[in-house]
Amino acid sequence: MIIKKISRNTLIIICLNLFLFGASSCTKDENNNQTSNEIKIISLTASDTIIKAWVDTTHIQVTTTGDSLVYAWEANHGAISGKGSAVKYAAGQCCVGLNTISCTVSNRSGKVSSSIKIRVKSYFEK
Amino acid sequence: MKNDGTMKLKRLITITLLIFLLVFGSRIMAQCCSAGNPPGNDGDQSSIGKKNLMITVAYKYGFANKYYTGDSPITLPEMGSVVKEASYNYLESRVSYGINSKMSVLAEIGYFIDKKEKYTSESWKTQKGYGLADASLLFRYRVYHNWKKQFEISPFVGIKIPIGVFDQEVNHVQLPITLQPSSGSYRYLASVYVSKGFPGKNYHIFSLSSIEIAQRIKSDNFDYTYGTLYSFSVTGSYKFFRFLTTVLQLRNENRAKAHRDGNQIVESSGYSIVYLAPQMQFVPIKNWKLSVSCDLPVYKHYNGIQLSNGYACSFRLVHQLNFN
Repeated sequence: MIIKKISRNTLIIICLNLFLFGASSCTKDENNNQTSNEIKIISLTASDTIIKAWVDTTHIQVTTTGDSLVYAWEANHGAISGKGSAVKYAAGQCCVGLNTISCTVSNRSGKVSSSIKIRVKSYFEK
Repeated sequence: MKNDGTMKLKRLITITLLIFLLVFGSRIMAQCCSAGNPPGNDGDQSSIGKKNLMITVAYKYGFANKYYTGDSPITLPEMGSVVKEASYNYLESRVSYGINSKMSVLAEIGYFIDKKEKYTSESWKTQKGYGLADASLLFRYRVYHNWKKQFEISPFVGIKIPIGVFDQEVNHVQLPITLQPSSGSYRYLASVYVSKGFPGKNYHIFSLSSIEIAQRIKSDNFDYTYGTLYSFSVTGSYKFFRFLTTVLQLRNENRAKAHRDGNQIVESSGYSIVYLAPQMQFVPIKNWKLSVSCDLPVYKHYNGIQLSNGYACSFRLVHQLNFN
């Protein structure tokens, strides 16, 4: 009876821990958060800052100074294709509005970020 | 003896939680804020008895390749970020425990093996996300049960927690929100389950009404609130043999429009879908159940233009343990 109870308790605690462990598994990468004095973003430009949903693609390029640079891109809405210092951005009808594309450039010395706004017009707009 | 066993259980739980909080506490605080777990339910929300433990593992595959505007399909030009097809392979694990004859607790966690979008334009490479999705914690209380008439009413309340990946990158480029495994948003759930059996008969019907309210996600560059989800389903089951039951569910899901950047409405969001979900359940040996089901949309209405849900099929394995 005690063995059965302990087995039940053990099973419940294992399940609880698995659930709680899973709940804690989302972590942010906290490494290299320091702003770098070595890296400088000279420009962050887009071929078009107003695009039509689905129809248009804009090319975004970042010009920087620094060595051994890693370029990280994110968009709050829409999709980015490519890698490195030049990428493409497009968005669907769900992303109509003023969207922000951010570029973070980093190396061992730290990182710097910049962002650009792209307006996505409705697919129905002429 | 009985007191020693109870004390030992309390000590074990306390120590476990303390250790957990000490080791993982800081990681819990580092929660990030999202597309999340696939919707739908397996139709099986029947009560679990006191001190019964039910463990479920499921695999689900979903596919979509048609855009809809209103209730009609629409063909988009083959360019840019127009998605040619989207699919996912998803695993889910669920544990339910009957605390007493009326109350039970359910915990669930999901994992995307992959979540893919293939684009119509060849210059846009297929993108894929994967990883831990959201977790759910639900409490159920049976407010009314008539054994003789086999009638039950049980409300649920719970929360979905965005524990999984919401900022996944490939080659340092963040994937779009639709490919992130986690929804990024806390969501609050309330449901009512009503069940009616027929003594001496092999059939049974039940309904489930649910509401899911999402919390606003607000970070430096992202301000988004998913629309509230309302769901209503009616399910009938018929037991052909001792080991074989067929189930048919009709389910309506209505999602309100999302909001971004404060109160700006996302016009191409929100939908109303009616699903037909047939299911077969096998009981090969006592306390084990295997089921196969599919979600087939029979009516779809989408606001604006959206990639519509196609079909989704799942396999579930359920095992019940009785600690009485």
